[in-house]
Amino acid sequence: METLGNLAFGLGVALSWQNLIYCFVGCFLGTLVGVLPGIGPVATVAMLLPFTFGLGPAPALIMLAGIYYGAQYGGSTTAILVNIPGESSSVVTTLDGHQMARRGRAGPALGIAAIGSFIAGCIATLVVAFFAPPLAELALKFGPAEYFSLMVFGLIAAVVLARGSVIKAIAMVCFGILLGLVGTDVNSGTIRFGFGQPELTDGIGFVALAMAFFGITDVVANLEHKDRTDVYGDRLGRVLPSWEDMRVSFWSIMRGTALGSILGILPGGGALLASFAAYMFEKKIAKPPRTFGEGDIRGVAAPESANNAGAQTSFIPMLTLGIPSNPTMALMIGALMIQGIAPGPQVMTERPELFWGLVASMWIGNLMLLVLNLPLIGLWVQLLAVPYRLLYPAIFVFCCIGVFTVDAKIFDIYMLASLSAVAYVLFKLDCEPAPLILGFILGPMMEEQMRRAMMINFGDVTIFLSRPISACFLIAAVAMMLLIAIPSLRAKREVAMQE
Amino acid sequence: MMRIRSPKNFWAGLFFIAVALGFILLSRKYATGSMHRMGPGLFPILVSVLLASLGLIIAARAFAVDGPPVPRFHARPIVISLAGIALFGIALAHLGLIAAVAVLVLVGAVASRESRPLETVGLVVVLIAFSAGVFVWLLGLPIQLWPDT
Amino acid sequence: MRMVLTAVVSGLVLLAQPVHSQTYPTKPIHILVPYAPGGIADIASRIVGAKLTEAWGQQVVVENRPGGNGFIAMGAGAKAAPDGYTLTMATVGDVAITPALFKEMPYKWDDFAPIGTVSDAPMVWAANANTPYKTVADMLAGAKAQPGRLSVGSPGNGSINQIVLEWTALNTGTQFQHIPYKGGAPAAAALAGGDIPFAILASSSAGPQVKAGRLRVLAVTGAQPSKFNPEWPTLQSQGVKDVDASNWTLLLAPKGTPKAIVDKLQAEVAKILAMPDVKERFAGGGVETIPSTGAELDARVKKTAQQLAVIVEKAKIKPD
Repeated sequence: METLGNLAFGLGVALSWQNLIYCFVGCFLGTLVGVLPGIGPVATVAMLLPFTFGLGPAPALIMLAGIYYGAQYGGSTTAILVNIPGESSSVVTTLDGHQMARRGRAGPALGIAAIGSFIAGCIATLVVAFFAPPLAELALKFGPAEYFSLMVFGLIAAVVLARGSVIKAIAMVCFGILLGLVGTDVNSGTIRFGFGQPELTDGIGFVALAMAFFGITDVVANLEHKDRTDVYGDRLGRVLPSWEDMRVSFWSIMRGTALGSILGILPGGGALLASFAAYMFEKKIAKPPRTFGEGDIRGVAAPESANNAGAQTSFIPMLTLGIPSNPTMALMIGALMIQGIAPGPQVMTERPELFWGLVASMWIGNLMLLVLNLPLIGLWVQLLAVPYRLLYPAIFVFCCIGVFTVDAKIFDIYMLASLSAVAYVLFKLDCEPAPLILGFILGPMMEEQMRRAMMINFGDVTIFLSRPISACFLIAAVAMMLLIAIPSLRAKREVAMQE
Repeated sequence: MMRIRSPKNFWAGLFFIAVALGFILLSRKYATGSMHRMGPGLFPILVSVLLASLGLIIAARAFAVDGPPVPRFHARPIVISLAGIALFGIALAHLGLIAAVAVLVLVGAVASRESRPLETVGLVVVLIAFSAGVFVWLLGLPIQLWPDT
Repeated sequence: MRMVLTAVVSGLVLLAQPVHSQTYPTKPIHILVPYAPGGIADIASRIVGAKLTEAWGQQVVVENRPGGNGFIAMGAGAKAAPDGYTLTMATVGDVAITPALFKEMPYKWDDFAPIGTVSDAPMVWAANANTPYKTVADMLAGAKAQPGRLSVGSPGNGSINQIVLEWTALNTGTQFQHIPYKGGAPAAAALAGGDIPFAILASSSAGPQVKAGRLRVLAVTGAQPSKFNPEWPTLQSQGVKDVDASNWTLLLAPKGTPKAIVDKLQAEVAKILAMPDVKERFAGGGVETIPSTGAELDARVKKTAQQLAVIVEKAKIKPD
């Protein structure tokens, strides 16, 4: 009951004219940078930081938060339309989202992404309001052993992403891990596989990797087949999802929201893991499963909902512990500190207008995003009517500028070209990129946490089983492995019988 | 007589083996450490060994199970696209964004046989205006538009 | 056509003019930052940059060029045209630790014309509140009883925080186990969650956790107590000789920048750092402003670099 009172109080703060305007500005800018690949919320928040000096803490935080979840919202647009995942969390959206676009269902895909995000955002905001303190405690319970086991689970589950051969998918995960290991090793400070290039000391850029394996490879593949270059033009189809679409994806949205809300609170890649996890979960339980990877609307609804739910709950560690769960949150802490507020457990009690104002503004912001994005869908879909011979050079331009804007490094553009060559070869050999991307992100984290766990526990391996949360993940990982292995063994036997 | 029945898988297997061997070679100079203090070399070697064995299995199975042939490589789209991207980098470093976008679009257009010269020139203008407008003017990113004077 | 011609001609005229400090700045100033957005060097650049824009009416663009142990931004800053339009906001690590760690450096201190120090962020040696260690003496006794078994977290290999750890260990004859994290935030989280018993953190990230009763501050790492938390003792006052370190930032121009421009920048930055609202912004993050002259900065960097190089060598801190 108290929480409801607090929410009402927060709505009072968020509904002031000033805060409404800043919320809108944040959402609008967030959508804009979310659509443009490369420039993420971090760069945008950093650029706007000086402008917030003159505002009070509440409007500043409301605007910066709007940019952040607005960007999560907008990230799916290019993923669906032209197969460019601008951020790591929209990689999975390309799998079915872009296939839907090819089948003339870009509108429903974008629509379900917006609606799913809206529902997820609303529910996750309630989670923040009601359960922030206990969830924050849970996040603190995650030590290196827990993270390691979570990553093991995530990597094994990654294989489910694959449409084709399981063994090739595992090989792609391994290749992704190795690519991810390039750069400075956190534990020893050694620069691995750097070839003496200072640009490689921080590793291969994610944006360059994702654009090479998705955007560029996709364009090249389309250009090779004349008949594939005009797939979009004639079949624009309807703009909004039908009731049937909504019915089919409703529970996917709910499950995605639940997974996203929980994983979102984990600092370091939690929100990203959420979108992958939601997709894999849907694919595993879906009946019939065949349609995943070929434009199944559930394959868009679940990860997009998870994504946005995770974006909301990732505020929990920052607001209740003062610990940022990603670089954007770190910047927001900086913004608060400049306002003379030290983020931490006392914010909720000492500055209730800030905490509850922000929570309430998330609701309003999500509504604004829906209102902003639904009419835009028609416009986006029209974009596909542009002849491919004009569309694809534009894709090149946005990929290149996007890669460059991440760190302003020319080197990253050459990296994009080299990775595209590798991606093209792998594409020709039927090796799917999604498991590679997951390995690239989770692999290095797994190594870092494993080595840290061993150091802190002086080489005692039993730690992974003696800590309950860690043990649960490992058991789940083994179960997952069996789940994957048994059907593929059975399938092999069938093949053998036929011969 | 052994016959490669699934060329795609055979080459994929070889590719993975080659990558794994490369990483193992490079990893040799990093310490492997102990269980307590694992060195920077241990994990990459473990993953590489796993990758090499997976590659071996994939390649070996290519002799046993039938699979599709490797599709034809069309040189034009991939080579032109990669060249366009690389030239974009060179142009951006020395001549600024406007020249870089122009180079990328003009070179990139060659990748498709359907491109029409006049249209492409128009596209250059539109994309320069858009990227300069959005990235430099609207978002204020520190990207150089013109060559250094 | 005439307009284009006029523009070209006036552009040529502008170019032909030598750079005068009276007219400087006539175009946007760029500040290179070797870190991703959000760090102290980044935020300091943005606060100072916004005020410079107010004062001079020219845009100040903060360019984050993270990576390569700071080599990318520092190298670019050293090689930039010495005209006062490309400055670099470095931290003590970039000028006093990295040169001791790496044999091949793309820049050296002599490549820069120092403008002045900007901000100073105190660091603390903190313990998890559930551990039995209440004072520095408790901790040192614990480390003596089981050498190398007590873990101390830091924001990374080669960070100033790690230097404090090794410096303390050297001067007290103790051994700790150093656990590097990927930045200050995960280290603070690990300490608050009890994964590790100790960590050396920026006082701003420890402060809220102390209030919440999760952490205990054993000491600040500077020679003087922090202005914001005078109740915390210094390491020196607790019997750890000589240790004196904090995370300070400094503004640099490339060597060869006209003295008049460096002086103009120095005077304006010092004026900005003395403004009450600027001090307040920095104080919000638990950071002090420390305006200085270029000569003072030069002396401080040289002294610190010498001190820290000895620690790096004695403690055998290596990047690989």
